[in-house]
Amino acid sequence: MQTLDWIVLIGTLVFIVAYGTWKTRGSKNVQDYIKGGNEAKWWTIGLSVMATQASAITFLSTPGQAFHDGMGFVQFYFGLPIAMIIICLVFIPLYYRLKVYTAYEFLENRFDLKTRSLTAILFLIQRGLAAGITIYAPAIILSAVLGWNLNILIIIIGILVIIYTVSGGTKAVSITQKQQMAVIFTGMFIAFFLIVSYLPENITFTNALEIASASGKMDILDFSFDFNNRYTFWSGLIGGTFLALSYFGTDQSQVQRYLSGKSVKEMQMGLIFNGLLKVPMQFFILLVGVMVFVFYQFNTSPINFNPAATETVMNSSYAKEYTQLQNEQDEIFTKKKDLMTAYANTKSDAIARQIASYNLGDRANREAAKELIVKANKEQTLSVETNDKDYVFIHFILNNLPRGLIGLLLAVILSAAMSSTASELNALASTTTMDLYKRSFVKDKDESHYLKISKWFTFGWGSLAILIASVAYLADNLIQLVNIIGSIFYGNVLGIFLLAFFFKYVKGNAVFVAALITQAIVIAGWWYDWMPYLWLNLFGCALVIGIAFVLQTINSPQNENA
Amino acid sequence: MQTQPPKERWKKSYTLVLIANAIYIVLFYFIMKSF
Repeated sequence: MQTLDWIVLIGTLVFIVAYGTWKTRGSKNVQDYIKGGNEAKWWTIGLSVMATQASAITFLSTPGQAFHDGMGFVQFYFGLPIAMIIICLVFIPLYYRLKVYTAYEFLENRFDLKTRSLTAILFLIQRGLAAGITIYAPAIILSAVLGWNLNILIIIIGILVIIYTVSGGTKAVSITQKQQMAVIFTGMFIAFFLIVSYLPENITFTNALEIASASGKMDILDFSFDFNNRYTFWSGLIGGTFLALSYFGTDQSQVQRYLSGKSVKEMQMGLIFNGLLKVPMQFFILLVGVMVFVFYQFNTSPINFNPAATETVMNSSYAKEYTQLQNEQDEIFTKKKDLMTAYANTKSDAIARQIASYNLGDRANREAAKELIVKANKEQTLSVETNDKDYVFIHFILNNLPRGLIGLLLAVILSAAMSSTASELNALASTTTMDLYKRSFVKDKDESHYLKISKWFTFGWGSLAILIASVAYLADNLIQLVNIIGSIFYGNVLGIFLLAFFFKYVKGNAVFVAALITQAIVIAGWWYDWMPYLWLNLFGCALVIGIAFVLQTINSPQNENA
Repeated sequence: MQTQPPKERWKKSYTLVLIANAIYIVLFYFIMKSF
């Protein structure tokens, strides 16, 4: 990091925070603070929705995913446009007509207060933990590669977000997200063109794609019905629709983005914008990763991109074996480098087979290196991450980009972290205020009281997120833990919303009891390991719908109060 | 209060999103087959 990088990094972040805080100072009431005064235009909503979903990990991890496994991950987003249309047709008109502040408020209207409160609490548990990880995940990576103090970095990210989110609420989140997206796209486009320009003179962009293809990185679509393969066309289309529907339709961190719209039309256009751009955006980020892969076919790379992992092994009794693997890797690189140029010129099948054979050796070496890291971890009672996909892109940035641009790309990563965290804190505070505090505890205060309390809740959730991020290192695999917690609750919540929207027959008491039973069964299912945890989403959703139907059928209608 | 979804009309922009999604998939198919 040179002085210019620091100037670009600090200048960008401070400007965004200061501008967002200044521009949105002085919210007059809760409606202003939580729904941004309902002034947002469609492009603001669209960018805000995209910025909320794209966290720092998106920009750190996705290129690394393409580097190792190719472009197939893009299939995961094929269902998203379909979900956007369903939300435009069903969810938005109803949310708008009922003038709700949160998605859960709708559930009281449709069912009853207890179902609303239960769903809001499930959201708070899940999203509260996730907010901590949104800060922690990029902080641990940046501290590992840059040597920065982890806790200081966590506190800086957290405080920057708290400043403008507490001050300006939803409007501040939306305004800063527009600037953050501008920084993110500028940085990613510059990075992409630089990577292509760094390729050898005789390698064109088309050649680069051919080289990537020879190593299987351009296998974008997989039409097989292989359930062991996580990313196929079918899982993306069906599972992707299901996941996007639950995330964009029922998660307040997303719902709040479009509830700030000026009209139903602006809200719908915002989601249409997201539906049109999300797939190409993910494709582009993956393409950056593929270009990084091609770059490293002509430049040496470490056998594991995580510097902390390398350091752990080199300080263990496995250092010699690890060095040996790195040497073998360098030999493979030298042999493969010439083949790559030859393949780009001839597209010979024989050369492609040779490349494939070297790729097998490359992959085997990297797996062997991971095994050594695991052994070194055990020897030193550490838990350093062996999977290095999060470190590939940042390694490229730090070792190859010119002065100033390193600062810009770090601003991209931190902007992405801040934009997602801001939406989460904003949604957590809104839900706490509107669904719990105002609805069930302190009902008859004036607007200024609820405005003040919303700000305090934002500050409280922000502080809790910093605290969770600071102790996250204590858990061996906290990110996975948060995903598990999400999977335990998400299916149940989506099921409740699907019942509300599409099954008029089912009433409040049946849904509430079904939700409690479902939650207990899903937790038991996770505890006794009935299925891979991602399937708990679908299981919980189907279960709550099924149980609610049974209960509704066996209960007499006059006992219902909905 | 009414809680059922109001009759929302299908808009051209929804068709546009579906067509765009299909075009992306076809495009990816041709990119995959070309390289």
